[in-house]
Amino acid sequence: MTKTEVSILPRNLLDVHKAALFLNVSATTIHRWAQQKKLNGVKLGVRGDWLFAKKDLLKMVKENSLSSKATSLGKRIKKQSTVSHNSKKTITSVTSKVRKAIDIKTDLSSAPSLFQKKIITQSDQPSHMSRQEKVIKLKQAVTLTQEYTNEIISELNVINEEVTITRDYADAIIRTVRGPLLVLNKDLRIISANEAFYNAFKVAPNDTENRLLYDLGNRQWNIPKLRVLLEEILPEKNTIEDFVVEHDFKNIGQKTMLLNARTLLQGPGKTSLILLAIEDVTQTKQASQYARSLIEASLDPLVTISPDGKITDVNEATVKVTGLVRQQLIGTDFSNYFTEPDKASEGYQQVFKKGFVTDYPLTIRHADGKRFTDVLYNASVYKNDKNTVLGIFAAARDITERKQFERQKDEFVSIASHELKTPVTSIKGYAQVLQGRFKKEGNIEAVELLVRMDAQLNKLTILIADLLDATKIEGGKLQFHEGYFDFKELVMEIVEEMQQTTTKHELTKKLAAPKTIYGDRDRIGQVITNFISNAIKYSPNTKEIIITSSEDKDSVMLCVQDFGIGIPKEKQEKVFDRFFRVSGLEQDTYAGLGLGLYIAGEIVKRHSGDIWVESNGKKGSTFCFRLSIKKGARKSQTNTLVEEETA
Amino acid sequence: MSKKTIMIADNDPGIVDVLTLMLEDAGYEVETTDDGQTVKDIKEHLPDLILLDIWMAGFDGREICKYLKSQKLTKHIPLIMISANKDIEEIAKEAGADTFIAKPFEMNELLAMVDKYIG
Repeated sequence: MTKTEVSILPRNLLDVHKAALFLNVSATTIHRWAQQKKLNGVKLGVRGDWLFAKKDLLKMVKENSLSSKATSLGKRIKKQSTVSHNSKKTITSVTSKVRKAIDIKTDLSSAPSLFQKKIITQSDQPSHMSRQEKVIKLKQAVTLTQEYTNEIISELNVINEEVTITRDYADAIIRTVRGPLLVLNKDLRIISANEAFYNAFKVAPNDTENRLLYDLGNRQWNIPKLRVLLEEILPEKNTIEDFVVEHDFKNIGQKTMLLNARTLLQGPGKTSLILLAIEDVTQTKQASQYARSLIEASLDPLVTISPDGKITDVNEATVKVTGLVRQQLIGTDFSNYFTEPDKASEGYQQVFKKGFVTDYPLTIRHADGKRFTDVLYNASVYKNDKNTVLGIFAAARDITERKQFERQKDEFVSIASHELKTPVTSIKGYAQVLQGRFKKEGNIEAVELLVRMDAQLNKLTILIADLLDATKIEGGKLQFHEGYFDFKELVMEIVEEMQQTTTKHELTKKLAAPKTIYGDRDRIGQVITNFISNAIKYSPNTKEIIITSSEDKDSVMLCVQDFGIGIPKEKQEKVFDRFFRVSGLEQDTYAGLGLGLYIAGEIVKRHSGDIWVESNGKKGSTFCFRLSIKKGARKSQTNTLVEEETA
Repeated sequence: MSKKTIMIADNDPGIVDVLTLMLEDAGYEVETTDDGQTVKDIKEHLPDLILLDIWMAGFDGREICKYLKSQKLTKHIPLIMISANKDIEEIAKEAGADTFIAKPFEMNELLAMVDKYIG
């Protein structure tokens, strides 16, 4: 046996047997030779009549001239296994079978070098096998090889099908994605693009696939920022998230895009793919710019506040009113910028509780410490899709001017009523002088007329006083002159006075025992007068008015009940509001400024008392107040103490 | 017994007039002025009582009151301050006025007050 003869030696299983025949040794012998030596790191073994190798498949495939089919098969299997988790099991079983088949082929193809050596050293070995035996073995080998080949082919078909399904699945995903999506190879050539891409960028599939990204559509994708992104940043990081690119496209105009890219590595030395998702955020950006410009255009200071009370955003008006720049404001406590921080934080806590607040009054402090802006806050919470509260949107309405107007108005009313007082004092004086003179003369008729005139002047005086009091309440200037006095005595006095003003009504007293209380006698008297005069005014067709007082060790209570027109439930809360007047067709005939109960309410509140009304519609109303007896129960600090009234 | 003299210092003729009528009807002699300086300058024929408006044009009633109450000659003269409302009560007392009366007042109330000092 010569080297030349050996060089044509076996490249497949069949050839092993050919070789065995040729060398006149059994295949087993060849195996034994193989067992004795380790050639090229391939440990050969024997299983039945077959050679197999335990070496790693890929390495074998690399060394093997038969490996091209196996390589492509392996690639597909690998691709498959990365995309489809479900078919992993099938693949594993298929892989093992394929591997087995490849093993056999590999072993056979590895054999030549083995044979070569053996042949050189043992070429003159005698044959132990009969020719017939050899033919049978050969036939068996052929049959088995055929069977394995068929099995491999059928498994390959299964894999092909799986790969197709997986590819369809992946394609479906790409097509379904609503945003434009490109699959590029590492040279930035487009492998595929989805429908959204074609639609958004007005390009055709034919002009897209297999083209370089930059050459696409008159090189409109040749964007410097994109080049940097794909050529420098992506290879380094493998992932790029939310990268903003703005570009003026020839046929679709200025676009703002959000790019997300990902490199799909296919293994060492293998080509990688790039997935490039493009989100067109032009409209979102325009919308947010639109919203921003609306917010900025507002003259009202606007802020957003996080659930823990920190400022998250402000507009220019807020910057102006606080004298601080955005960066100084954002992240700081909202309540910092008000004259009453506690009230401010109470305000936003109310928003989180109720979902909103309206006309919440606060005063914003400018950074210079000198300027203050009176505002009314309207605020509401804003939520995400899951209804979780993200924060508060708060708008402040600058009411400095309104307050100024109000102050001017109050000042005007104050001056006007003051000015009215002097002539009323004169008229009242003249009437009283006349009254005195007619009395001396015994002209009773004239005296009576003058008494009526005086009563009207008293009404006028009360109206003027009410106007003045209301402006004082608004300006926080209503003063009290407090001292100890007997409550019952005051009630008796007023009831008596009021009885003289009416002939239609009968004032019935149901009074408790005398009780000394502390407060402004005149002001509390004003409240009682108001209750009784209202009772007279609003019960034109009934006679009885009941004045009840009661007391316990801490307080006194007084109620005035009439049987007149009554107050509907929904209006009962409002009767103590400034300028409230009973309305309705019939009620329009009742005159008044709508200040009396407002002032009464303020007087009682300032005495730390309670004031309320009970009315069941048409059967009249009962107005009541309760006052604490104790001196220490006062909230107000501005009261002046005059105790002479008790004298 | 000669009539008691009351000086009315007020710059509103309507008030001065009606006060004069009231007090004269009640049997008092009345002197009037609308000039604060005149009140400060009284030396002879001292009145028995002074009714002083707290705000007179160009003069601060408090200042006049303080002055009169600081002068040996005039400090004993009862001084009733006339004010627009009760809120000036404190101020009136601070200035040294004996008492005060708020507009609009009842004639009887005023006469009772005057009577209390010089009756």
